[in-house]
Amino acid sequence: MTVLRVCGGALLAAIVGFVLSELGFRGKRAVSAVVLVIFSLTFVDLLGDTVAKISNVSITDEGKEALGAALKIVGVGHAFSISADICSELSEGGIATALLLVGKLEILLMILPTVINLIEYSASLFT
Amino acid sequence: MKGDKKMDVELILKVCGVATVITFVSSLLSKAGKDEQSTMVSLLGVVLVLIILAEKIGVLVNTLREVFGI
Repeated sequence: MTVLRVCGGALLAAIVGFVLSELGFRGKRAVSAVVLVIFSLTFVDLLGDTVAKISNVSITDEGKEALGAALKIVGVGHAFSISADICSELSEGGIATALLLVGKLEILLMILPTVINLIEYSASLFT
Repeated sequence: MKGDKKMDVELILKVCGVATVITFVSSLLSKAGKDEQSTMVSLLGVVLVLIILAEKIGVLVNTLREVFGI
């Protein structure tokens, strides 16, 4: 994949989107949403290589478990973020806001056990 | 950017092409006084794009699941 290919695709989509909105095409937002999904797919594919390399780092079992949890949290964040962007693109701002709120809550719930363990460990240092 | 990951530019071209053709046909029908047919052609275009969108969202969800193990 080249930089020019990505930039060219984005510029083409933007120009065609402009032309479609000028001509009054009703599904212009759907076209923009498709382009957004394609870019998100490219982004996640690129991220997949990095995630695979990080997962193969040789560390202890506890470290691997913590790393897996961290990567899952990153994935959840990206999933909610991309979904909210698609909803915004389709003029559903309310749904996008609700999605982001649920995403933040989900991530908070995922890190809660780690935070509790940290507090307990900190408390044990002082007792 | 490294790697052999290809962005689906062909699909972007396809969707933009379909949308442009639908828009022109719809405009021509509308100018010829056939408003109902123009509306139906526009709706057909929207449905086509939404089908492609739904398919790509499915691929995106599966990719997210594979990459992050969600």
